[in-house]
Amino acid sequence: MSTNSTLLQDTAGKAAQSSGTPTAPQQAAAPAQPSQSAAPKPSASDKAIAAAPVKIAKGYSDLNEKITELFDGLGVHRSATIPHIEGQEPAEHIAAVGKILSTVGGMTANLLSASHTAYGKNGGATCAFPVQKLQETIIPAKSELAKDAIDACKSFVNGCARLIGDKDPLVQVAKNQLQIISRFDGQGMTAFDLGVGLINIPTLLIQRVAKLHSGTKDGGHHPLRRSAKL
Amino acid sequence: MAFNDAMPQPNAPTTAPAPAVDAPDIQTPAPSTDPFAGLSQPGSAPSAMGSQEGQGLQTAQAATVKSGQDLAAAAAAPIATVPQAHARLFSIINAIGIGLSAAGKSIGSGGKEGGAAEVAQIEGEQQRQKLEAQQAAQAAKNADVQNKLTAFNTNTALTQSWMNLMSMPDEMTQKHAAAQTAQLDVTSKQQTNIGQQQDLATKALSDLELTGNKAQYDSTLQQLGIPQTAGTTPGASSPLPPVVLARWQNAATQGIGSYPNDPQMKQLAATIQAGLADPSKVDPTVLATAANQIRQRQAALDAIQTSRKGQAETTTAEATAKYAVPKSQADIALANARAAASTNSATKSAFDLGQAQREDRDLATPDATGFSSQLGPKEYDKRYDAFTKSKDYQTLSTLKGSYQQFNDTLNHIATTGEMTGAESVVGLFNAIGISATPLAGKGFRINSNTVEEHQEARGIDQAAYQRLLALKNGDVITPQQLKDYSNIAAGVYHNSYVNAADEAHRQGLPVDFLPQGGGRALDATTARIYTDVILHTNPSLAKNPQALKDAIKKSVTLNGWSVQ
Repeated sequence: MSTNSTLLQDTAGKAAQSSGTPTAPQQAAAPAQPSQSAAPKPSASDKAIAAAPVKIAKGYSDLNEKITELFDGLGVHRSATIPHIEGQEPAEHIAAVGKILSTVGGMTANLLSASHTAYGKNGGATCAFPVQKLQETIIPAKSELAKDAIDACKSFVNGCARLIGDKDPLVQVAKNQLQIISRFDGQGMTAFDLGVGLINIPTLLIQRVAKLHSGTKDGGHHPLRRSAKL
Repeated sequence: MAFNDAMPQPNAPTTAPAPAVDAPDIQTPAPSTDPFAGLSQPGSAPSAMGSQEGQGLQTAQAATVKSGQDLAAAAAAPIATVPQAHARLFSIINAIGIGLSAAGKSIGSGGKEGGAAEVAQIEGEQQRQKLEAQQAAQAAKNADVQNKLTAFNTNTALTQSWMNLMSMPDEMTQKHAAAQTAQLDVTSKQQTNIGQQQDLATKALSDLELTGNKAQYDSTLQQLGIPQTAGTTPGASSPLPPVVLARWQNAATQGIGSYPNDPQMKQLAATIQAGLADPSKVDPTVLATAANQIRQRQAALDAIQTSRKGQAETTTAEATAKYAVPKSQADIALANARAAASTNSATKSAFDLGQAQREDRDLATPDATGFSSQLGPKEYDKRYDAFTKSKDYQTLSTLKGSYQQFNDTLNHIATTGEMTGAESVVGLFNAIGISATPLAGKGFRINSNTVEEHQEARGIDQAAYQRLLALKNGDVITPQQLKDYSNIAAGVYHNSYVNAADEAHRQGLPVDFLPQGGGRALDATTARIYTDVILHTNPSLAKNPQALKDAIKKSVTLNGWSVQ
């Protein structure tokens, strides 16, 4: 785990340890240890950790920053960096990204990573990396940057798991995908493939959390809740 | 490349070398390279086309253009043709080389190898390599498109993820996501409760309409937590629900509308009309009774009408059949069939009429406790059937036989002092929940304590359950112990009958299932059953012992018990 790992990552890591899910250090020590090992009985501190809030936006921002650091560290020059301007609406920022991307090959020729305004370094930014260069770049062995990026993704997935439960099929799929990727810390993968994987793995989880959260609001999606309002 | 690019440009030759032509005078305005320059700026540069100098310049320019084109053509020709010629030459040399090689190989091997076959093979190999190269290029192109697609999808997912995250608080807890489940559970339970409440309230309203028992209706609503009619002082009796009044009114209107000349109908309708004028001053049971009687009367009169109509039809059919001129055997058969059908219909109508009258009479007849059902025939039948299938009633059937056996056993013990009726004991204990094996008149041994599993099935009360639960495997029951259990067995018997009778009356049904005497002397347990049932039906008798005694005597006598 990186030196600037967040509270989310720490707590998620502890929660993952308590639930028997191997974190990166554990895997380094015993890579063959499966995640299906018997879960120990949760202690009071574990319960407290489980009840602690999950900084979900920060977790995703951290993941994106780690991906950016990975690409930068691998020597892939950015096509563009579009910093978030103070006071700028998200829609305006997206429009600005689209406008700038059109000058460097467009959405299909670049892979994006975006950090959060509040949690990202220097107010957050959207970075574009050329797909072709990322395809040509191979993750070397023992890449700390790749390991950090994978760890950030694990922390995020663990955070989501605390919100929606370890038994959710999406959580299980995401954890298994991460297990496959992290077996060799991305060694031998192209930077493009690793980046795409790390961005896509949490996508369905975020959708799931957002959907469940939406259901708790007035006019939530569940028909029973709607009918209760009649 | 440069030539090719220059060819379509008409002005390009001006830049090409033109040694045969003198350089234009620098004083003379240079001819514009833009053919539309004079048109676009007519006044800015005077045209030189009209002068001799201008004409000469024009000719020279044309010559320059022509010579430039020739030069270009001449220069381009070898560039364009040389590669083709080289390729062709190389192809010829290659083919000759392949042919010679194959021929040499064939000569050397005596025709075993080489020759035309090898030439074809080599050409095929070349073709294959060419195809592979094309496929590789295509695959690279596909991979590129795939990468672009993946990048696009990933970027879209990233954007979508951020948008989803913006819809949530930055700090999420389990309740933000899991609250849904809890809320759904609560909502679901609430809705289930609401549904049950509504069902019970509807049934209570229906009961009120049929029985007029307002106190019971209010009590039910209070237990359900449903507020009384708005504006009613808490504790005070609320007004009758408008829907009930409307139903009674409808019954009166319908009855008097159908049979305006029927005196009984008139009287009942008048009772309802008078009561509805000021419902607060009238006993609701009077109105409910009148409405029920109107319905019953109407059903009876309807049956009479149907019967008369059927009889008239029968008469007409018989007369028609008698006096009609039969045309054929088929017509005769048809006429007979119609007459028979009509007769059957009339018979059926008469039966229905009789049935309706019987029902009307039966419903109006009070039961042994003086209770008279206020239900209409349909509702009465429906509830009666349901009650007959109920657990309360079916338990009574089991208890009735067992209790008789029990009494016989006790009588036998009393006279002989031994327990010889072992089979009867088994029957008794089966009735109250214990499986036992008879031990030849010396009591019996409990081989399996199955009290618990029989408790639900037998409706045994809690006291008996606790006592019998204390029995263990191997315990021997003596006649004295059996006598000790008699009070418990009698209690079970008594409570079951009283509870069933209360439930029947609550449903508006008569208690026609109390123990029948058949001329036997009334025993204490049965007397207690009748007493409690009568008191539950007529609580006011508790203050008048003589009236209560008379009522009990009348009731038990009615059911065949002998009272000294």
